[in-house]
Amino acid sequence: MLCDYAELHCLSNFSFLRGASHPEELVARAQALGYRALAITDECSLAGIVRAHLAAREAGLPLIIGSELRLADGLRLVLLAPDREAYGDLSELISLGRRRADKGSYRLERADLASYSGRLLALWLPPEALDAEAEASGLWFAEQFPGRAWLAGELFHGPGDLRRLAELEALGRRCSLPRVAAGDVHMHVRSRRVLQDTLSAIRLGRPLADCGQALFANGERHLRGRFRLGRLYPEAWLAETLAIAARCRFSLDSLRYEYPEELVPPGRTPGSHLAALVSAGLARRYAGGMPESVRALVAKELALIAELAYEPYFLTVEDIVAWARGQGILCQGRGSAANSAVCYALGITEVDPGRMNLLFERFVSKERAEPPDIDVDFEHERREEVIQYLYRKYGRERAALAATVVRYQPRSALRDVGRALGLAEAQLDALSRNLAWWDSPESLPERLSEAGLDPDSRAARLLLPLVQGLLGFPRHLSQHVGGFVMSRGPLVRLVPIENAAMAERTVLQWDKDDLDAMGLMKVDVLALGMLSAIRRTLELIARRRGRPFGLADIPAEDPAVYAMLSKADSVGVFQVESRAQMSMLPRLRPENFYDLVIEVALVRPGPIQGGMVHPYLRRRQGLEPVDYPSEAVREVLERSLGVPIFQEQVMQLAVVAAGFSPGEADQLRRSMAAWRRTGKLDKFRQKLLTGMAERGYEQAFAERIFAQIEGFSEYGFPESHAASFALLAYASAWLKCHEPAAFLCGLLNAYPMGFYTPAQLIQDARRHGVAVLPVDVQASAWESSLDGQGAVRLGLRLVKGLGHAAGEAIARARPAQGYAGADELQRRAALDRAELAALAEADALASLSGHRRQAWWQVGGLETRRDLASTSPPEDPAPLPAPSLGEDLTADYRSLGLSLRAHPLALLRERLAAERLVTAQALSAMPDGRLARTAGLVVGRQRPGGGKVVFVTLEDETGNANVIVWSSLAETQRRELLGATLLAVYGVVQREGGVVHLLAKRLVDKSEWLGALSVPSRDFR
Amino acid sequence: MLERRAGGDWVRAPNATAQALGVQEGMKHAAALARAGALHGLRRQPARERETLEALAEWSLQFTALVSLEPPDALVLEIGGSLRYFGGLPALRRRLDAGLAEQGFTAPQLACAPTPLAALWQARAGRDETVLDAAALPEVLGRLPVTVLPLADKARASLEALGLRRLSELLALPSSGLARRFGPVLGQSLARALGQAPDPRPGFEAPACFVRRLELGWPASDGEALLFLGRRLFAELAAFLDRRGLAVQALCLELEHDRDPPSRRALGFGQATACAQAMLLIWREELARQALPAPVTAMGLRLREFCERQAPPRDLFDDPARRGEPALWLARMRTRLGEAALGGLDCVADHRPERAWRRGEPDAALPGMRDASPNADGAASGPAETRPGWLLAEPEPLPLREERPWHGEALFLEGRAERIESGWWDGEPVRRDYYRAAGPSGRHYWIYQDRQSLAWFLHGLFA
Repeated sequence: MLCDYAELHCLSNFSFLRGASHPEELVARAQALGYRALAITDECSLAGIVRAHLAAREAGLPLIIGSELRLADGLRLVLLAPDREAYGDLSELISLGRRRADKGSYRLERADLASYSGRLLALWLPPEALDAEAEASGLWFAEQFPGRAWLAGELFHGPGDLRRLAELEALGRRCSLPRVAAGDVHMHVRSRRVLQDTLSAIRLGRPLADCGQALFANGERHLRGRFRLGRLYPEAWLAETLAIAARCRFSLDSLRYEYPEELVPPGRTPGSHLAALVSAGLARRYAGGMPESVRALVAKELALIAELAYEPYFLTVEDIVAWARGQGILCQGRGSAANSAVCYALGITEVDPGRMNLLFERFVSKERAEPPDIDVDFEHERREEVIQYLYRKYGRERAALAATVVRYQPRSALRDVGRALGLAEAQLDALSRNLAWWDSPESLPERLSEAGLDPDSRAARLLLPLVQGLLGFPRHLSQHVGGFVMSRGPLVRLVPIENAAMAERTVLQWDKDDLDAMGLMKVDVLALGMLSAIRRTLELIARRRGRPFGLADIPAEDPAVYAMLSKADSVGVFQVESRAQMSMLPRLRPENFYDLVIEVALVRPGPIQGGMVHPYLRRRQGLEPVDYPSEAVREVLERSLGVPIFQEQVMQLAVVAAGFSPGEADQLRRSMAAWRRTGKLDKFRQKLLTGMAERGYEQAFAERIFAQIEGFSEYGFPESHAASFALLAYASAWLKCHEPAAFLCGLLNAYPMGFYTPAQLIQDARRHGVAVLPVDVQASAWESSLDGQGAVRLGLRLVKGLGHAAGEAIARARPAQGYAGADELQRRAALDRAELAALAEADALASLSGHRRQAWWQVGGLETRRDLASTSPPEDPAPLPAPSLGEDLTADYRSLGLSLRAHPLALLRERLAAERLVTAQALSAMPDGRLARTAGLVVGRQRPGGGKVVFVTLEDETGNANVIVWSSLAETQRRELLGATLLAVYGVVQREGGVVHLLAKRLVDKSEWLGALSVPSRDFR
Repeated sequence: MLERRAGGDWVRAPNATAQALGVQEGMKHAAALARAGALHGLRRQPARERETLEALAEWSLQFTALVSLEPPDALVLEIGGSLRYFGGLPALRRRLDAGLAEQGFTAPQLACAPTPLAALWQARAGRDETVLDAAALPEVLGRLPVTVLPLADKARASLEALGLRRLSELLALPSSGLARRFGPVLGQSLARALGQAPDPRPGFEAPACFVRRLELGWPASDGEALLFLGRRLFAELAAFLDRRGLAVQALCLELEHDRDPPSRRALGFGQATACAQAMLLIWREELARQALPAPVTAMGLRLREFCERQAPPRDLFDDPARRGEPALWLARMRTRLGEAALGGLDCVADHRPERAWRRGEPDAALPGMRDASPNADGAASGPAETRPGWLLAEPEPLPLREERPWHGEALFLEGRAERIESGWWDGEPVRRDYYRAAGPSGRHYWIYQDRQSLAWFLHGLFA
């Protein structure tokens, strides 16, 4: 007869580089073996338990939460949580040990264990040598956990198992510790032994061949069958596992998260306080009278919020946003809950429900049991202030960042496995440089040979299977980009907190999926460069107009803005400035805000991979009829002309067309995010295809929907986010259209951000008639600014090698009539020689000292210590040659990354014309299909979504030329493509709906024509 | 070649193939890889470069007494005094060219000028011309690019910012102003190159070597005479070593004979030593072990390689083993029995019994003094007492009789299996269950069952 058994000591792969199985695999295996319960006891960590819990709940297997610990003095034990309070103790103890050590390690002493020993169950893991010292430890252990301590006996077919068993039995008796069987499980099945050995080698940082006794002698540390356990352990030891399991009644389901309560003033309830804030906000928003539709919407939303008891969530977000606004930090919310009349009233978003009611149907849903989701973007340079505010307000006990589980990717897995197999670093470099073999494993032998590795060697043959096995394994915890969790009571009683790599940061051991599953409120505090640029632009406008000018003062639905965007005139505009977006704009021709929402969401890997882009465009251009397979589908897809574009639509389709329940649709959404890792979409695929077939939909349509679900997996883009982004896209487009000079300043001062370099932004602005003046110590401030005539004066921050303090000092100390000379500048601004040289090299001293070489000579002779200034003798002038235009250009680019003198290509135009290389302007006027050649500075290379084409942007004195390079050409002309600064392209003109591309047939590197000029290119994948 | 500097690896001296793919000198490694994916980079080894330069300097000492190093890649030879001896400049030049080519330096940059720096800069600029007249230096040097100057990157950038490309442009600037902006060193270098300031430089000295030859007045074949020679030679060597804080681990004596060609005798001391007595002890063993091929007339010793001294030398005498000097004792045993006769047993950290030991160098550390690293199961050392004293060289297959493994008698399993599953990474994977087994004879065996084939093997015998 098979014995009954509960495994009480089991590590998942969240014991990083020790456990060799996912929690889900362990649960499934324990269930299949008929275990009565399974404890997940990762080392000083609860990072894997939510996944284990979800899997166990689904499987109906009792799960016990615990943790294995090794104290600083070497004592090893497993703690198990019998109830909620004990779980809190465990979480606190883990936090204590983690907070005390550097990221990734922990430190606990016996005293720490003693102070948390009141409720937890404890299994002692005795050392190898059962001597007097061990016995003393056992006695101490028994004393700390009266009635709750056991001696865990673990046998693995080592040498002398029987003797050890007898010794453990005797030791247990001497220490009055009951004996219990345990398995020190590191993997769910024996066949993971190979991977487990590899993980150990990676952990030890040595090749497998050098690991020797540090590896386990055999693969016994897996979930063993009950028949074998019955032969291995005494009956009493096995029975004890059940007794312990029976005492562990705690389930994660009983965790209750509570919102912070301090946001509600005394005498008010969360509901009444929220209602008050909302009505005050509405009065501010609709000073001229509120539309009836909005009033009704607000009432509906408030009722729903009350029903779900989400008031504290909205109050929390409101508090953050209100604080940021008080500090002058621009911010905006997005996400499903953000697009609500309530959020508009609270100032969390600017999406006006009176203007865009289309969006507001899909607010928080009652059916989907998901917590509300609001991400708030802040100016990128000031987000840290917001984070520190949250730590201050709630304390480190009650606020922490969510974790991100960093998992093995092909490249990192290859490196670590390769090292474990003893491959040379150079070979790994060569292999990981080109991961083409990853997508087509049949090319692996060839790649291995290239890397100097015999494809038939043992290491080569072991490599791929091991890399595949390691892929997706968690590697360490990192901090989430901005997901903050706040709670009423101490968070440490809910989930352990550990140190992040960054000082002053603490992270939870759970990632965002875990938090979602456990219903913990998370607010994403994110950084967005465009908000910085917009805030700066708005400030400049306000200063010039002499009255406040905010985001809300930008007029809505301005036809001039849409006309500009329809010409793909979008350099610098948020979200729609990429090459792919630019080629879409003239085809889509946005006419209103909702078109922009679609534009933002359409040019994404999801819709592209799902083949949704062209059907949408054809329907929009009236080239194909808009039809719907059913009335139900019409409701879902009408706003996007029958083509699913948004994540929400895909989920709704699953419900109305394939018969998913809202809960299942929500699971589908979660799985979308994780399918590449877990491969879990298969079951949804079957369900979706059969569900749609049953309801009479064509298989092609169903397959397309599924392809899109796959595409969404990594870049899922919900409508709720697209709407908020579109708002910023509109705002930035309006600023570009009507305040181009101020907008250029804003972009330059928020740099680095976006797709374009300052040089490109300036070129674009000048083509739009903006006057741009050079950096000049007599006129420039630290930041770029507007002068009295509305021209842009470049700021000192562009000067390479000049620090912020020095730049500010130059502007601050400048007399009203300007500096009299370089020596006065040096004295007043207290500049050192390096700073002066940086200014000379940027030609910022031209108005004081003549050309940049004279300026350099002059400041080089200044004594930079004040007391010596008067004693230095006057100098003879130096015979320095004035720089040529080309030399000045080169020096400008070197110091500033741009030049206002002339475009470098203007200097070369004669030579270019001799080779019949035409300008970008001439190219844009050519008819479709014409053979043409052009040349320009390579200012951008982009391979969207790692796809088959590379977009190259060439710049000359007349504008930009857009070049498409197919991957076949990119491969043969790799050197020219990646190496050229000045590139000539021979190709064919492609003209479609006002968009002109040059499809490259041949690339020629002309960089040597530029001499020493180096131009930065911004390359994106 | 790759050079590690701030911010990563940089390409130096790409070969023609790499250059054809667009790889350039001074490019980031990553950038070079983007152009040439199959690029093979060698790490730059400054120590080897230095060695090469010094070896070349040593070779050059045949042409002049004054050779100075200009690391990393140049030598300056003062040849004014040697011209007559070598028969004039063209002849000397031919000898240099031929000698360099012989050593594999196929394209050396040579230049000749009245001052060391002028010659150096000319060579660095690749101008293979001979300037003999110091008055011509300003004009000749003026044509050189400023990049030949030994300047820091920052100063180099400054020259570029000023638009100065040739030394003539630099020389045209007021020298006080130049000194103020670039420091005094630049002006000094220029003055030295032009011969306006003296340029004393330290001459290269060949590294220390010990060369002695002691002659006997007569051909001797008795040990006493050779011991006498040895005593003198080792005393001198010890003094030489003492002065420099060096030691030797081995040396080779050269014995000259009356008519026969010279013979050699190698002595190894087991450890680095500078002690004459210890050397003599070994020499005595060597003489006792092997007879001389012929009477000896002289004994010589050349030593070029030394090691650092680890500890102050002690006077080792008498029986070293008794005094706990196993290293010396081992050296003597080795001399007496021959190299191959001595071996040691090393423990190897491996779960597979046949791989858990190997024959190693006889090690002066006594068994039991070795540290056993803790294994994954937490034990401090291997499972010594459960292992047999005698391990078969090859596991021996055991037949089955009545379903029991048989080795001259029926074998009965005792206790539980010890399971060993390991070694999948090196081509000798094992998956075995080991048992202690006993036969009716009372003998104990160590046998295992292969978990794949289920066949039985004898692997060891217990005492």
